Order: sequence, then C-alpha cells, then structure tokens
Amino acid sequence: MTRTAAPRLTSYLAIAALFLLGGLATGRPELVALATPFIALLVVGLILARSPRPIEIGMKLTPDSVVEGEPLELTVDLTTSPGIRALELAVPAVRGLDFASGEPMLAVTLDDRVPRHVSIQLRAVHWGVHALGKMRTRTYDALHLFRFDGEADTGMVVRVYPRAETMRTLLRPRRTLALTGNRVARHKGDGIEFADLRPYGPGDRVRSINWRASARRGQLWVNERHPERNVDVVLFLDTFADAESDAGSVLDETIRGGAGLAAAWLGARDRVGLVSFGGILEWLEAGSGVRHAYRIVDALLRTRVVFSYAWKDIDVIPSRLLPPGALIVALSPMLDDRVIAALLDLRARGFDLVVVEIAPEPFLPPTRSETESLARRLWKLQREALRYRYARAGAPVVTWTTGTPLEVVMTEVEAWRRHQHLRAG
Amino acid sequence: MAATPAPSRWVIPATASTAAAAALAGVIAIRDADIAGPLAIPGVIAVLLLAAAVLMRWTNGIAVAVVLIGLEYAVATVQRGGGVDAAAPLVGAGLLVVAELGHVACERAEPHALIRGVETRRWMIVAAATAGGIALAVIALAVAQNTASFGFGELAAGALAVVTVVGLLTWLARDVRDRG
Repeated sequence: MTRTAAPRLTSYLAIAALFLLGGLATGRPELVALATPFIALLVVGLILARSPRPIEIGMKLTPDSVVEGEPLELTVDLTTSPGIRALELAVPAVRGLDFASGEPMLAVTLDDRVPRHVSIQLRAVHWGVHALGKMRTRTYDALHLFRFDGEADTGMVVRVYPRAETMRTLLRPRRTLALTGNRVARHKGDGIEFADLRPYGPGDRVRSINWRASARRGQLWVNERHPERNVDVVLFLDTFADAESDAGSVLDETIRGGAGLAAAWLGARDRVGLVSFGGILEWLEAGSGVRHAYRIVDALLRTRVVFSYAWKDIDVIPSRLLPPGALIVALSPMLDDRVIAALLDLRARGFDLVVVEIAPEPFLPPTRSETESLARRLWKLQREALRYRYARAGAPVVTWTTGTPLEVVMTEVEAWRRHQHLRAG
Repeated sequence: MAATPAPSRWVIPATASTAAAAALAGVIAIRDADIAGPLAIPGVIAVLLLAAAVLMRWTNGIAVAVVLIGLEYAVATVQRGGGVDAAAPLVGAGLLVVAELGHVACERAEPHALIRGVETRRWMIVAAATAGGIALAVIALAVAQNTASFGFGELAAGALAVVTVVGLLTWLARDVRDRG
C-alpha cells in the first residue's frame, strides 16, 4: 500500500511553522498560541495514522462471456483489517465495458471483520477480449491526513462477442461441393428437390419412376432431383484501413457482419473459412460445426486494423485457404488499393466473389467548406467507378450502411445475379 | 462518467467556513477600533479568497486565507503591544475550525460520497484536538507571561523548538510506500 499525505497535512504544517516563526520574529507568544491547535491536530492525526493491513479483495464476474449490449455483474468481496471504516473502490475503466450505474468509483462503508460484498453492474458495449486490469482501493486515516492506495490485479478477462447480424436467407452460391449439406445444388443427382422428368434408362431405380407421368405418356419416365450439397464460404475481411467516429467504426461493422454471415452459413452445414487481409495476415481454414463456429468468433475477436505500408497481394494467402469453387464474401470499406487489387485478382482467378462494401461515409466528419464538399463528391464518383469496375468483372458490390439489415444487402446480390443471368440470355 | 454530488453536501460546510472566517476577521478588526480599516483589508481578502478556494476546491487557497487572518491578528497584537492577549487560543481554535470546514467542503464536492459515520468520528477527533490545542496554548501563554525577559537564549531555544516541532511533524508526515 502507498501512503500519501493529504494536501491538508502540508497546509497545516506550513501554517503552524509560519505562526511559530512569526511568534519568534515578533516576540509575541499569541502567535505561538495560534499555531498550537494546528500542531495538536497534526500530532493526534499522526499518532492515529497507521498503515492499514492490505485489504483482501475477491472478485467474481458473471458471466465471463457476453454478447454486445448484455449486462455483467462484478461482485467484489472485501475483507479489511480493523479500523478501516470506509473505502473507495475504483473499478478500472475498460473501453469495451461501461458502468451501468455510471460510477467507476464507489464509496463503501465497512464493518470490522465482516466481509462486505459489493455488486457493480457493467454493460458490454464493444466486442473484443477485455482484460479488466487492476482494481484500485483507497482508504483514509481517521482525520483524512493520509490516504492509503492499494491495487489488486483482477486477472479477469471478459469476452464480448459481437452482436451478430441475423440472416434467415442465405446467398445461393454458383457452385456447390460434393459433400452433403443443406444447399440445393444446381446440377442433378440424388436428392429431395424435384428437378425434371426424363425417359427411363438402364440403371435407373424403380423408386425414381414417376408413375403418373409414365401412365400419361405410355412409357416409363423417371424423376430427376437436385442433390443437397454444401458450399465452401471464405469470409475475406479487410483490415488494412478503418474509419471511425463516436458512432462506431468500419471494423465494428465488419466484425458484426462477419460474425452474422459465419453463424448463418455454419448453421446451414456449410464450411466457412476466414481470411483477415491487412497489415497482419490471419486466417482460419474452412471448416464446419459448433467448434469451428467458436474458432471463427475467437478469430474475429482478435481482429485488429494494423497499419502497414507494405504492398500485399493475393499471392501471400496460402492457396489451401481458397478452395476451388468457394464463395468468397469480402467485407471491406474499399479504402485501400491493396484490397481492391487483391479482390479483382481473386475474381480474375475465377472465384465466385461478392463484395459487401461497409460504407465509410457515416464515419467521416462533415465537410466544412465548398472545396471539401467538392472533394467528397469526386471521391464518391471514384468509388462509384470502382463499383462499376467490379461489376464489369462479374463481382457484385453491395453497400452496407449502418442500421440496414445485412440480409437486405445480400438480397441485392441475388437480384444482381438474376439480372446478370437474364442479360446473358 | 462520474456523477456530480448534490450541492447541499458541500454548500453547508463551505458557507459555515466562510461565515466563521468573516466573523473571526471582523472580531479581530473591531477589537482595535483605531486601525480597524487597515486591519480589515487582509481580513476581507482572506474571506474572499476562502470563498473562492472552497468553490474551486483549491485547498492551498484555504491555507493562504487562514494565514491572512493570522496576519491580521498578528498586526493587531503587535500594534496593541502590552500584555499577552488571553483570546489568542480561541483565535487559533477558530482558525482551525475555518480550515477544517473548508477542507470538508472540498472533500464533499468530490464525486464519490463521503460516509457520514466516518465523518462523525473525524469531527470528534478534531474537537478533542482543538480542545487540547487550546489547553496547550493557555499553558504556553501562561509560561510566556511569567517569563521575566526575552533574550538571545530564549530566542535560540524557541528557534530550536520550532525546528524540532516542524522537523518531527514533517518526518512523521512523509509519504511511505510499502508493499502490502
């Protein structure tokens, strides 16, 4: 514990010294009499001011992992040495956690020997892995001449998961894989969904015969079906650049969108991989199942924007992370040339690419002059041209703005694909 | 965000401190009617400074205000001359009460709440220390009154006593860091 003298103590010392010296200088004992109450108070205070024994602090956080917006409760058990009547408890400020009561510092009355339980209501406001840090305690002596500061390392970590976007319908990929899944494949084979009728041929199973059609046509006809297959989806997160304001950041939206898409596709028994393309390249190979869902969420929690000047292209990504025929969903603010080039490169290599553009405009400061407005308009035109360039390459770019459900944005992709299909004839 | 404390928590001791300082400065000035005007100047400055210090939570300002009232009293005493003023211990106690009330007002204005039970104990100790201080001052005045002369020896002894007292208190009041 650290003992620190209160400003009052030094003030009283100075007052007493001045009065005593004044008495000496003037030869008037009355000034000594002015000093004596201050000296008496200091003497009594210093006699009573003993360093208290360390305060035992037990802490418990329930639950230790939450979703953004959910409440947490920090229970602090305090056992103090006799003589401490009051205690100030300062809970460390953590960026992702907010105090539900609005008070990071609490005053607690204590009774000798009886442990005191203090409950602090917190609220998870931002995703991430947050270490709670050190909790500070402060007690005073009887006359508040000294304060005794102590620290206790909480050693607690809170995992705040991003509030995932709800997705009820998923984007249909162009190609499916050979493994069984929930996705109706475009090709024909063994499955449930009816696809077409064709005349019976050698090797066809009897159970495939459509008896009603056969009776009408006078010869055997069999049902053809679409098999249920799964897909490989690679979530491509742009962590080169970020735009942030008090309302949030592009990275926040990227993580929330990524978490929602991953949960939805994993729920449909698809394989989901993750590539975090930025100053630091991080990845997670495509996989499926509940365990993989947790792996993806943990990888998302670790995602950070790391500033870098180094040029990176698609060659730095290990080829096994991008399985042939995989649907690549890129979540990007489209602010960095390296990502723009890498995504076009992916499309050129034949990957089924969808770009979800996280609109950076809501996070930009308002323009202050005519010149800035003009520059902003030019910048928007450049972005529009970029979207057109992607569309020409066969990769739809849909803009996701804060507050719009991601499902709506994905529906736009379906509409764009239908339109392209009709145009192609 | 820290909550702002209710004004009633700190306004009462702040007002009491300023009122006590004004009363003390006024009484000191009125006692010597001949020089009441010049004497009132440090008193008025002290009261205004104290009010500002309490409002702005400037604890050093409280000390300066107390010293100014002490200066007013010292000027009055030196100007008056003659025998020992028996009211000096009460003036000293009054100055301590002014300072304590001012500091309590500053502490109560902090966002985190002070606890009433703790404050009661504190005021009891302050009252006991003040009473002890008054008793000590009365003894000191009595000794001074009965001392026949004030020569170099007394001055040296006094200086040594002042250095000893202030040094001892400073040593006791030093900041200590120990592993808890």
